Amino acid sequence: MRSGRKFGWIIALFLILIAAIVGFNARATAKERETALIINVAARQRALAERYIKDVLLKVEGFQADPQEDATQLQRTALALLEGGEVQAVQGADATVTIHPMKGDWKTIAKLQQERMLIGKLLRTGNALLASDRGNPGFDQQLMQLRIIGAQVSGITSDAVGEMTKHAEVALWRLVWVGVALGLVGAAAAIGMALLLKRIGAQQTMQFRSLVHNSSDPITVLDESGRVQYQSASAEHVLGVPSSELLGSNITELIHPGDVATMAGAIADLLQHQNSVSRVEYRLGRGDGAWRNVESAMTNLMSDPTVRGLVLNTRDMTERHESEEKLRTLQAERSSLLEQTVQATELERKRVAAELHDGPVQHLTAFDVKLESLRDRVAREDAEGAGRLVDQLQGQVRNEISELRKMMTELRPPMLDERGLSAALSEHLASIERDADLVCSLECDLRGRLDPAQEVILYRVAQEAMANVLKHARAKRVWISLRENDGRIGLQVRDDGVGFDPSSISTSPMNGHFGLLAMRERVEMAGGSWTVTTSGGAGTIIRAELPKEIRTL
Amino acid sequence: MIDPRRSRRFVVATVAAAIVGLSACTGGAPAAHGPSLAVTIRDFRITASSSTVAAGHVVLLVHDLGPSTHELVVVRTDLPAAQLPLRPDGLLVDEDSPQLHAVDELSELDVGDRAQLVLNLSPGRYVFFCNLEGHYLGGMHTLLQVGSDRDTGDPDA
Repeated sequence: MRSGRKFGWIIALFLILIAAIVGFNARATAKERETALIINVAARQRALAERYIKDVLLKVEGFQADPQEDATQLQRTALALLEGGEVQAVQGADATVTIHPMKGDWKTIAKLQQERMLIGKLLRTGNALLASDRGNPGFDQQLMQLRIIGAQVSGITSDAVGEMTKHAEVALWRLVWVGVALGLVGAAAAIGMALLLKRIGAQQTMQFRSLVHNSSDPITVLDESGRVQYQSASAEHVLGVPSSELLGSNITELIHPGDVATMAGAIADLLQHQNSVSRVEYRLGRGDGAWRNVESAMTNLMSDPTVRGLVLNTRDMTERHESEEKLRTLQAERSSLLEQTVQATELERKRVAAELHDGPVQHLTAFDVKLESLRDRVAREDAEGAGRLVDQLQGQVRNEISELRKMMTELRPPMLDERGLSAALSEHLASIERDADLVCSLECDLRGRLDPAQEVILYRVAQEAMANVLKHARAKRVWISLRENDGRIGLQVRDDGVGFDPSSISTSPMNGHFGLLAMRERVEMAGGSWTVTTSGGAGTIIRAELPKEIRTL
Repeated sequence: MIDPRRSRRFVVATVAAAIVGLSACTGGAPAAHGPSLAVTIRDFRITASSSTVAAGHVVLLVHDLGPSTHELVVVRTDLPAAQLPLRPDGLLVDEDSPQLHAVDELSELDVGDRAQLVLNLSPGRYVFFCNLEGHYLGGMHTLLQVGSDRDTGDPDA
C-alpha cells in the first residue's frame, strides 16, 4: 500500500518534470524565434536608412522616389524596438511582428535610443536637403552631412543588432543549459524510477515467493502436460521427500494409480478454461510407500505471464479422513453396544427369572407340599413327625434366605452402598475364594469414600474382570489394586492366567468379548481411560482410570 | 536652501572624479610605463585629459562612454586632426595612406568598457580617432602633441 502510494507520487513528479521540460522547450523555441525576428527587424533598419538616403538623393536629382515612406517606417520601427508595438515583418514574411518593449538590457536600450535620435537627425537633415536648392552654397555640405548621419545610423543599428545578437546568444545558451539540466534531471528521474520500479518488483516477487514458499500447504505449478515446474518447500512435510526431487516429475507418477484418471480428467477440463478453479481429491504417494489423502484447489494461470501454469494449492486430508473413519467405527461400536446392552438386559431378566423359577419358586412349591404334610401330621396329632418336618422346613427356609441374599448381592451388593468400594470388593473376592480355587489379594490406598458413581463403575469393572478370570484365565492368583494418583482413581486387575490374543478384541464387539468392550465403554463414557495388556501365557492386566470429576451417565 | 540639481551634479562629479582617480591609480601600473593620459570616447567626440605629453612611454586609459561601440586608432601625422585622408567612399579614414603612420589601436570598445593602451611615443604630432562609419566625420578625433622633456614636461607631474 505504501509502495503503491510512493509509486504514484513518483509518477506524478515525473510527469510534472516531463511537462516542465516540454513547456520549457516550447517556450525556448518561441523565444528564439521571436528574438530572431526582432534582430532581423532591427537589421532592416540599416537597409531602410540607406534606402532613405538613396531616395532623398533620387528625389533631389528629380527622379521618382518616396523618402517619406522610408522615413515613416524608420521612425515606426525605431519606436517599436524601444517601446514595443507592431511593425511590418522582415522581407519574405507576410505578417506583422509584435515587438515587446525592451527591458533589462541597458546597453541595447542605450543604442536603440541613440539610433532613434540619429534617425531623427537624419530625417531633419534629409528634409532640409529636400527643401534646399541644389545651387545653394551649403548644399554639398548638407549632402555630406546626410551621408555621415546615414553612416552613423547604419553603425549604431549594426551595433544594436550585434548587442541584441550577443544577448540572444547568451539567453539561448542559458536556455540550452537549462534544457540540458532539465534533460539530465529527467533522465536521472527516469533512471531512479526504473530502479525503484525494479526494486518494488523484486520486493513484491520476494514477498510472493516467501508467502508461497513458506505456505503450510504445498503449492505446485504444473505445465500443460502435468509436469512439476515449481514445488514449495512444505511438500516435504506431506510427501517426505525434498521439493527439489519433485521438479520435472509428472503429477500422475506421484498419485495413486486409482486416482490417475480423475487427475488427468481434472487437468484436461481446467486447461479448457483460463483462470478457472477446480477441486480434486486424490491420494498422493509418500516416499516411504504410504499414501496421503489430499485435496487440491487447481487454478489455470496459463495466461499469466509470470506463472504460465496450473497452480495447485494442496491440503493434506489424511488426518481428517482418519478421524472420520475412527468416528464411524466408534459410532458402529456404540450402536452395537447399545444393541448388546438391550440383549444383555433381557438375558439378565431371563436369568433372574430362571433362577427364581428354578430356585425359590421350586423350593417354595416343595415347601408348600411339606406344609400340607405338616397340616396332616398336626391333624393326626403326630407331634414328633410334625416337629421333624418343621425342622426340615426351617432348614430349607434358611437355605432359601441364603440363596436369595447371594442373588441380591450379585445384582447390587449392599456393602457397596453401606461401606464403600474397598469393602464391597473384599466381600466379593472372599465370596470367589470360597467357591473357586483362586487366591485373591486386594490393595487399596484410597483415602475415604469415592463418589458413588465412581464406586459403581469401578466395582462393575472389577466384577466383570473377575468374571473373565473365572471363565477364561485358568489363573491361580489375582491381584487387585485401587490407587489415587494426581487426582485420578486407578483400578488394576492382574492375573497369572493364560492370557489371550489382544487383536481379537479390536475387530468387532460381536466376537464374544462383550464383557471387555462393555468395561471400556463404561469407563470411557465417564471420561476415563481403559486398557488391557495381555499375551498368550503371560496373564492379563486390566487398567481403568477415572477422573476425579466424572460425567454422569 | 540647496538646489537639488546642483547637489546631484556635485555628487555625480565627485563619483566620476573618484572613478577616474581610482582608474589612474589601479589601471595597469602606470608608474612603470610613464605618465598616464585619460581618454574618453563617446558619440561622437574624443577627449584627452591633456593635449600634450612628453616623449616616451605613455599609458592611455581609455573609457568608452557610448552609447555606440567605438575604436581608438592612434596615428602619427603632420596633418590637422580634422583633415586626415579618406577612403574613396568619403566616410572612413584611409589608414593605409602614406601620410599616416599607424602607431597602435584599440578595437571594439563597447559602451562602458575601459582599456589601456601603452605607447612609446617619440616627439611629434599624433591624432586619436574612431574609424567606424560616420564616427570620424561626426567629430571623433583629437590631437596629441608629444614633445621632448625639455619642451613639454610631464603633464601629470
